[in-house]
Amino acid sequence: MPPAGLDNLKHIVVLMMENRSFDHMLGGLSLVMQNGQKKYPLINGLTGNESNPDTNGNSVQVQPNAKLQSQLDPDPDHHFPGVDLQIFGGTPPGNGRVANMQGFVKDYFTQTNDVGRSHNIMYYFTPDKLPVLSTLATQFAVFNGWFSSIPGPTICNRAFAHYGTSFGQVGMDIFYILDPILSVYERMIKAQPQHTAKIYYYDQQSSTMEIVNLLQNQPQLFGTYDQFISDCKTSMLPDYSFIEPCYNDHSGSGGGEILASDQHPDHNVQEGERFIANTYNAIRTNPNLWGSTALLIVYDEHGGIYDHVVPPACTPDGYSAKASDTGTGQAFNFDRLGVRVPALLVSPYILKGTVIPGPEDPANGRIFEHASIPATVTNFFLGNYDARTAREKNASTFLDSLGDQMRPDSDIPYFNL
Amino acid sequence: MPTAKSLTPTKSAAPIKSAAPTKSGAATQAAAPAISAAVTEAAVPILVPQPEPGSYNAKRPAGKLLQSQTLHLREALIKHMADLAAVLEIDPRSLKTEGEVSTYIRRATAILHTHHARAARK
Repeated sequence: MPPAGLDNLKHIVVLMMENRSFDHMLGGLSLVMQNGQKKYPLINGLTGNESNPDTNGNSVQVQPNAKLQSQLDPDPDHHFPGVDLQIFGGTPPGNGRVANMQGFVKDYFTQTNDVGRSHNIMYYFTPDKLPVLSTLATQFAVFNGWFSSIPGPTICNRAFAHYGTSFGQVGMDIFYILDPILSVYERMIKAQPQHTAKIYYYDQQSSTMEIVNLLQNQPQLFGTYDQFISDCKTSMLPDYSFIEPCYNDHSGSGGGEILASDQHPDHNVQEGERFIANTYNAIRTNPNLWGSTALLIVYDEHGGIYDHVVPPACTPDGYSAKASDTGTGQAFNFDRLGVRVPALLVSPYILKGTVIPGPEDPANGRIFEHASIPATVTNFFLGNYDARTAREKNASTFLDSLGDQMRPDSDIPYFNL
Repeated sequence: MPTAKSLTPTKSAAPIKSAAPTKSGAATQAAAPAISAAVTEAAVPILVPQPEPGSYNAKRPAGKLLQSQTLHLREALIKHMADLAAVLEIDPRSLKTEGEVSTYIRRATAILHTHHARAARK
């Protein structure tokens, strides 16, 4: 018999933010002390001693100096060759090279041409700067081992969240779905009995990153963020919802200023905090949804920002990117993951302070990546479903931390915006 | 199967901060939650600060992600226009059978339906 948390689960909501690493956003939680001891000893964050060499050969330690805006401009490199440098420290592709996470500062120097500014890539937020993310991470479940699916940029990583593969892409180019793989949304609406699924993008001026395959051919799958809020209020949320933040600063339809809320450098991180809090509140404040919804908050990739955990190997998805496409001089067979990203799971059925162990715990740790999203949604709502990649079939699913006891309302945080 | 671990229950790590009384650029906000009578520390409302005035910058150079997004939109528009052009090339007066007519109607309706579905979301 499944635990009550799974038995009552009717909705899965995924909010995917942009371009921040785990250590940058949550690594500071490991340095919070209480009564002379680490307050969160199980979170695999920073010790404060992690470092990278700069282009002058000096050691640059992590520092709690991350700012909410105006610090990561120009945008740190997060394309395939740059991430390869970040992970392998500049050792060229070849047999026997070892990942060491020592190339972040060197790579950011290629963007800044300024040794001092290249050190910014090692900065992390203290928890007080991110009250929303820090609160949700410590009050619900945080994943120590959630990685981006590809050591590369946004579009191919987001594809893994929709399809469990990027169909061989490692960059930002247009890709097309190859039979027999369907998006998780199409699987849901074509199932018998039929399920419901929607991608909520922020508004028409921000739109979606899933254009060529879904917006073009399946416009009925889309709604705006205002509709998401309305669907929460009226208890009309689909079985599965995927939320996209606002990707650009723009004027509102009725005037006013709409800030990007995706947290992509150099967008304002606080606006992203508000967006996460608003999404959480929308579910939290409807009693019909709160006990029947699991909210996953995850970042698509690390955005070129430092993390100390070496990305592990993974099950290949059956595709290969040519050496000419990777830019490293070597083909890529989708057999290792990208850099670690923040990921949190929210439900009243999760124990306060839950930490899902990752690679730091060889006995119990589990590895998650964006293929875990369609894997979990498909397994939970549809059960057996064969037409997907080996990568997705082997991906860890993320609902195990939902238990039997629903926490009382008085034990659950909420945010005033 | 390995299970999730739980930390010793502790107080919230997040301090309470005052929100600056500035304009919000946020979207429609969720309703304010009802405050439970039995308030614990976890249930103390956590105030989320607003971005500093001046954070908005629509003149910021567009990054590679946004540039890629516009290229993808253009690709979709070209496909859309090609579909439209293919239908417009057909002279309806040349359609003689119910089968030919029904095919034309299906293609035209699909294009119009897509157009109106998008327009309705504006």
